[in-house]
Amino acid sequence: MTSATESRRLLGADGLLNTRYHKPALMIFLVIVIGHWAEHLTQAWQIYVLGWPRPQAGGMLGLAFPVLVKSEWLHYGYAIVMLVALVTLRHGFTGRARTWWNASMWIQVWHHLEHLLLLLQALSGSNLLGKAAPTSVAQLVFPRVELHLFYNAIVFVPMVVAMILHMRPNQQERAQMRCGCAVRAHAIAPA
Amino acid sequence: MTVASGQHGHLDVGGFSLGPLWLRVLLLGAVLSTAAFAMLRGFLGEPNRRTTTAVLTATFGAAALELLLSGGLAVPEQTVPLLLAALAVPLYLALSQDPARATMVARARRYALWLFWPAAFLAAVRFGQAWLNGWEPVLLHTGVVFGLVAVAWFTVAKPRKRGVMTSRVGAGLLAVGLVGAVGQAVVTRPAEPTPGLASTTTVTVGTRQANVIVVPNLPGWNLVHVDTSLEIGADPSNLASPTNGWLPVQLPPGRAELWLSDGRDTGSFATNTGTGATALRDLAGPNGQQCANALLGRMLVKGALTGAIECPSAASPPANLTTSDSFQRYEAAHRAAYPSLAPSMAGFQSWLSARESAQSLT
Repeated sequence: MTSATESRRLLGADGLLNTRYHKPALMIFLVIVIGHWAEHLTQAWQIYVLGWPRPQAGGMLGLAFPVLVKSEWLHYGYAIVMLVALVTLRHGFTGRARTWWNASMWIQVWHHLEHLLLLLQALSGSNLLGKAAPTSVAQLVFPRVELHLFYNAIVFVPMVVAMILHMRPNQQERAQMRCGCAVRAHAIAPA
Repeated sequence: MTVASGQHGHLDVGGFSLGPLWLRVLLLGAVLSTAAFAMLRGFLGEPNRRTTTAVLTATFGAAALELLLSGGLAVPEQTVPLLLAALAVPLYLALSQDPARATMVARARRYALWLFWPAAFLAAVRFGQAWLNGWEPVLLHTGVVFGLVAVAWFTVAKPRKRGVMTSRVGAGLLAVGLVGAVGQAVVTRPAEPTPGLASTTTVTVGTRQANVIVVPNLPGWNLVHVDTSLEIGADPSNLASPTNGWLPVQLPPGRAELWLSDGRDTGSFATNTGTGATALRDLAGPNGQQCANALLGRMLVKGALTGAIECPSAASPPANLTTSDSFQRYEAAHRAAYPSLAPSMAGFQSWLSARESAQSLT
């Protein structure tokens, strides 16, 4: 559902990314996120199932291009891309979907701060509390937990819930929507 | 992506390193901004939302920089996230514009001084302890972090009339202490490894603690000793197992990272090899371990190695020495220490050098 007087701006509540192009923007974002997930899960499989040493477990692309796994700049860049997408696309969501999307966004804000802290440590050589290697804040409380795999999971789950609720809105939410993401009412209505 | 290693696998910044100096400059700037606000608060009107947010952001940033530069705090590590939360809540109170939470936010700001005073007290205690312990950096850094928490709650506080003047005087005094403490703490940072002096440290790899020695800690070939069975190397994707606990590793000039792995978990530590003298190729040879012992002995006697550094000569010593009791003692000691290596003249010379160093120390 698009506005009769459609904005020509890209960003903001009336921007094209939250109205006419909300659905394709979400699809592109979802493909990027799932691709990243596939890399994480492949890496976990290589370590836990295949028993590869951690330094050699590079996921899929990481085997061909090790820099993708090792570069802190790339990881920070991905955290930024995630954050920007979650912030800019949030206006298109309404009602319950918006609540879940906001939850995902705030978790990603913290995840991004953790990556910023890691990047600062790698750049400056000054590690958190004098640790031997760059360390994130949550690692102080949860040592040896696969933290960033966990972080990606807790960002991803509310994001998916938001997308499902956004596709299947209730009447009130549908009335507020200005994009074409919702499945048509008759397609989900009981026969 | 912790999956990549035991700590946090992606540490490569493309060889781009800025060093910690810029962090220290940022820390001083952030603490000065925060302290200036606390000192001048009594002379200025009610700050607007933007000013309050800017001061609180500087305070939060200063605390984060403290965590990076301190080398450790005199509090359990698990309390650090709580300290960060204690700094983040005032920021939330300043930013919140949600009408549904307005009452809760107003109440929290009214009673904010109840958190200011305990945090200021803890900061003062740590500053006092640091003073009595020769300005111990860890105590100073801990006091600074507590002080920043106190100033954050003071910044966001909107108390009723009672106690306002006292809190402003208290915050002003705390701000003076903060500036002095952070200045002192920044210049009395933990010592960096000295090039030419064996670098020693303890590295955590998974559940194991490994004691590591790097000899002579100069650019080029170094011998690294580890007291537990781990793989070592300067490149985390190319590690090797040591022989008798020793492994020759080539290190770059300046800051160098050494990696240790048990095949599953990885740990690392940084050393500084300097840019002066280059370490010896002989260290990578069959007599490297004995040479490292001799160099360690020289370091114990002379301190950091500088100038032309050489392993003891591989040339044969005088004939009477090779048949002497000392050569036989060397052979016995060598077989006990390095059963897989054949005794050699270079090893004997190194053994003699290490013994001479030990004798000069007794």
